[in-house]
Amino acid sequence: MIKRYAMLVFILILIICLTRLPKLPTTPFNLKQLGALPVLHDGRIKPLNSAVTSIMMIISEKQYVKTPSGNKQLPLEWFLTLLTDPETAHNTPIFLIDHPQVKALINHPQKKGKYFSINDIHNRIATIFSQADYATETDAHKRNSFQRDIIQLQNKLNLYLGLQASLLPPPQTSYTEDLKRFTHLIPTVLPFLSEIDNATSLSTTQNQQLLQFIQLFQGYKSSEDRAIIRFIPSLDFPNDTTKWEITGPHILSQIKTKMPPHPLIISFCQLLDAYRTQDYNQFNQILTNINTLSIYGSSIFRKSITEHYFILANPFFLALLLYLVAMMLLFCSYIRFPIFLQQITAYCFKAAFFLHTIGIILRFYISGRPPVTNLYSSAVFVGWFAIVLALFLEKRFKNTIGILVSTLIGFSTLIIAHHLSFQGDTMAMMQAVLDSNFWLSTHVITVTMGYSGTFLAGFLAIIFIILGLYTKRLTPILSKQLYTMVFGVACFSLLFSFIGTVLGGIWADQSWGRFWGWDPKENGALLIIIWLAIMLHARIGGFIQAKGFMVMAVFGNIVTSFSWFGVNMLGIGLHSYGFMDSAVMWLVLFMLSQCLIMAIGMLPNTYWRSLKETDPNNKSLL
Amino acid sequence: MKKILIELSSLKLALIGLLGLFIIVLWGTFVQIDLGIFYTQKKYFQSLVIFHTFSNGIKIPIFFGGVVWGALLTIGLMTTLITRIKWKLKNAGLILIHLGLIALLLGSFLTGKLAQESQLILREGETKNYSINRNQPELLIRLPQENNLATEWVFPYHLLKPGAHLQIPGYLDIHIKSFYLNSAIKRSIIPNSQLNGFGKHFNVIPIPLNNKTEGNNTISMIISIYSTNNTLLGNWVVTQGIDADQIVSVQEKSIYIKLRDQRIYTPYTITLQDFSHDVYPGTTVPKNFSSLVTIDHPKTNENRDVLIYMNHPLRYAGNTYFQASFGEKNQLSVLQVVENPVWLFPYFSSLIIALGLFLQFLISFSRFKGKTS
Amino acid sequence: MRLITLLILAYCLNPVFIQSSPRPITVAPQKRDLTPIIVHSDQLPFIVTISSTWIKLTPNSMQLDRYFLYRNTLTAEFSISQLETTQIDILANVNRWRNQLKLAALVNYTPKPIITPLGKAYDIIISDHPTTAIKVRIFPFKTHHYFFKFHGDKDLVKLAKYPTLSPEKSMIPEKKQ
Repeated sequence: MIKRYAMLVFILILIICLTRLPKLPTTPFNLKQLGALPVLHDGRIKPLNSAVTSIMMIISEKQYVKTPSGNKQLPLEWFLTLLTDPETAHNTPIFLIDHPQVKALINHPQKKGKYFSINDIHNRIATIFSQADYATETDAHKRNSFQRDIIQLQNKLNLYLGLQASLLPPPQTSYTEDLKRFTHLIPTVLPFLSEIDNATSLSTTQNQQLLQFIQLFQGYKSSEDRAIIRFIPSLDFPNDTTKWEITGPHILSQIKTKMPPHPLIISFCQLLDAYRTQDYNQFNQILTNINTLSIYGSSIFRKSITEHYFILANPFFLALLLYLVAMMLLFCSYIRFPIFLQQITAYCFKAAFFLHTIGIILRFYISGRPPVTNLYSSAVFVGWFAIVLALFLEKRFKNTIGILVSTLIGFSTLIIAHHLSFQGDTMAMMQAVLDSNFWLSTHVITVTMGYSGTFLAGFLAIIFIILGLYTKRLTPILSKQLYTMVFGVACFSLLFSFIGTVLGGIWADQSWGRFWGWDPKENGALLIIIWLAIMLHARIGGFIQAKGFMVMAVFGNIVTSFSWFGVNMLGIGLHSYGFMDSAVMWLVLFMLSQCLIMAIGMLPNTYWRSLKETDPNNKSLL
Repeated sequence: MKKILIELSSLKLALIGLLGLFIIVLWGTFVQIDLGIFYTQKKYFQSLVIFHTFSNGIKIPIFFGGVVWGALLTIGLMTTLITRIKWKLKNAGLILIHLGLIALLLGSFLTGKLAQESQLILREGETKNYSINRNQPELLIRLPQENNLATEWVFPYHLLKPGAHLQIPGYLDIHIKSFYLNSAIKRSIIPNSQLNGFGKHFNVIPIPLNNKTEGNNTISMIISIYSTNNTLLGNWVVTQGIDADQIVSVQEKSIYIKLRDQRIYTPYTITLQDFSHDVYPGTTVPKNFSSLVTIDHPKTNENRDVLIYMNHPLRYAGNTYFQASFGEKNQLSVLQVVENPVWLFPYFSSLIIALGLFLQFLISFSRFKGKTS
Repeated sequence: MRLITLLILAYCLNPVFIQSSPRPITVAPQKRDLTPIIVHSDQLPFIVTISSTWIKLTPNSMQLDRYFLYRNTLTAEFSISQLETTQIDILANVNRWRNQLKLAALVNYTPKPIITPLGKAYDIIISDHPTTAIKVRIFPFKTHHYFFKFHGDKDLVKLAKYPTLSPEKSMIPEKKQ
């Protein structure tokens, strides 16, 4: 009976969580299908929706914009507006500029808010670019906030202009009409192009044709340098990403090849025309008629569509919410209705963990890479593996501590991942030296498992300290169990950190010629190992008791967070591929919170509620 | 004796060693921001004592360097193995871990002492039988002879100290008057009367050391040259900043002097056939760098092509060649050359430790399982 | 423990107080091939061997290469530049250089033809100025004219020797496909 009610509540929670997911716009246009089309952006094939969304995220740091008329537009709608109705798009405030000096530079003291449209900054673009070029001359990690922001603004402008140039230039009559005319004009115009020197010999119609041709030519040509997304796969080798083409130059290549335009270009022209005239029946009809499988090849299209729905479904975000609910319910269950609430917790937790796992597997399928390739995926994986470890502990001890710590770690690592995901493509291509699936799946994975272990030990230690200090729940049995857990996990993570670091040494020896180079990231890994060794030796030597061991395990959190994120923030060394500057404050806050926990953990036994009231003289373990 | 051994093997000493190591690793990570990785290694990890230098040049020791902590740990580990750990099967894991750690620490110490890094810079089509090390320039004295041959006296970097007295019997005596670790070179309008050679037309000004990137410093020296009968021939400036010979006339012979990047010769030659640099489509993100080279070793009758690329170095005759950098519109390839006779040390020792850790983990795990069930 | 600490401290402080006195040091000589300094320029269809005592300077936009040479207090610069043409007005160039030395223009000028391993060339010397001189070798090769030019103190420019040219790029074989 309880199970059935618990199930009911769980389904309710799940539905509420599902409504929190970001949605595609509810327009009669089938944007879902359009968004799934594969394009080449930043060196890899991805669905159009991801490409456009990531560009909008960089420009505005939001996933929607508001047009001057007050309509909310999601990335794809904005993209289509940018192409078919540039006037509206150019008046849409999308550029996030919040640095006061940058604002002063673009002379907008009268405008409130931090979002600007391209028309707002239009006449200051030259100044922005010259200032940004000037700022680029300073070393990357010596730039001040103005220099960083002005360079960022330049990138945003380039992205905006690049996106606009990526598909087709603004039409003279209509996209389809333009393309048709251009294709027709080629054979007519080519013969008298060679005699262009004696223009007098051309008739008036010929002159007009030539003029039209040149105008169209320039339109298609204009995208060549600026386009950032490639839409057109090679007809014969869609799998070869080096052969994908920019639309404009591809149309121009007809002059040489004399081939009819690529079927995809015709479809895109019709799509844009339909969108311009707001004819959604036509639009959806054309989309369904695109023969995606033969144009893109089945493997590319299947991956792209998987990624598209993966991003729409956002399993990690859903898991994040479910971990949070599970954690809160578990807390409540310690106060009231233990059996009922823990049953719901179990459902929520299982669902969250299932989504977490599925998410990792899908990312593996889409990117064709081992689970950890960058900071974002390391956050997802650290959490996941710590939960796997915690579940082993839970299976052994059955005291709900394993679930509690799992939800805690699951929630916190996924929230870190969620914020890291705003920094750009989470499946971006790897720098040359990192491009090795073998080492990514051995060294990186084991090191990350080591992180999982130290964090698990640290969080268990936090639970130990909080329970002992503020509640009476830390019975001698529970404290013994917790101590065994932390000790075991610490041993485990020493093993994995060590193996991971050694594998890293071997990789470094293969690629840079030295096993060990005292690079910050290497030092970070070494610090974890030394710290774990100190912990274990101090405990074995009897210099500290269980309590001291817990405090040291909490310090392990600081060491690991330094090794994981801190060294990347120093901005030096061979490993600093994932440079980031926004997260410094959060890292410092986290470290301070851990110091606080260590400080209260070192309070004498008389302050510990669990110890005071059970047996004040019992010092056998603590 | 036994008492000392036991004291050395105490866990307290191990803890002190580990803590010391922890502190310098952490410290040495932060100072890299200003000091750069090359000087940090020298000052913190490969030193006995870390000195703090005040602005007036006084140095005071502030902490022990990596070598001391490493040695302390090695001694601790050795004595632990002798006195503390009983050599029994159940301790096999522990013994292996400690043995491996000793080997690892010794290996890293030896690497610091024995490994030599240099660079092989090749243009497409160029052939060389030496690599260079810009950090440790050498003073070259050359006497050209016929048939395109020359007699060369090469004074290596460690001999080049202010006050040093270098001798070429029968020709020259050289006194090093000043030595600048980094210097700037400027054209002078009025000829310098105290100096001969290009020192007349170029001023060499000492400037602070650039720590950021190794090899970016321009080492210069001012030297006095005497003939064998102790008459002063004049003062010359030699510098890495000017890649040209200077002539000293002795006994009607022209002797060429130059401070050049250290050359490490090999008995074989390497020719760069082709360098290529691939990027991800539609981006400027590099995907791969590779150099196609030909090794020609006349003594072993070898002449073959090798492709060196990311994560795939060439190991040949004790040297390892890595793709490190490139330049001049992809016409020039820079290969990092590492000669490390003990490069296998860390492999073996980590294997031993990993095995030991694994055994120990198994033993602990079975105990942990026994305890809880 | 204390003893070890003291010993280590004593060792570390040692270099601060003790400085070794200079003793003459020598090294064994080695025989090595003389490596000539060669101009590597993709724009040059032949090899130019530069004296090892010349100092390379950054060329300006018109030049392919630029060197500084000296003898005691005398200095001069040597530069290589090219012009893509098969016809050249020597008199106009001579007057351009004369103008650089603030000398009056000439009405006609007959250059001295010489024969090099790579073909015919013209040598021009402008030495009317009291202290400065310009010495140029104009060298037509295939579709281009190459200029090898000394400019500097008169005594040094007069003595300076042109670098030797070798006919083919034997050092740079064709790329392997």
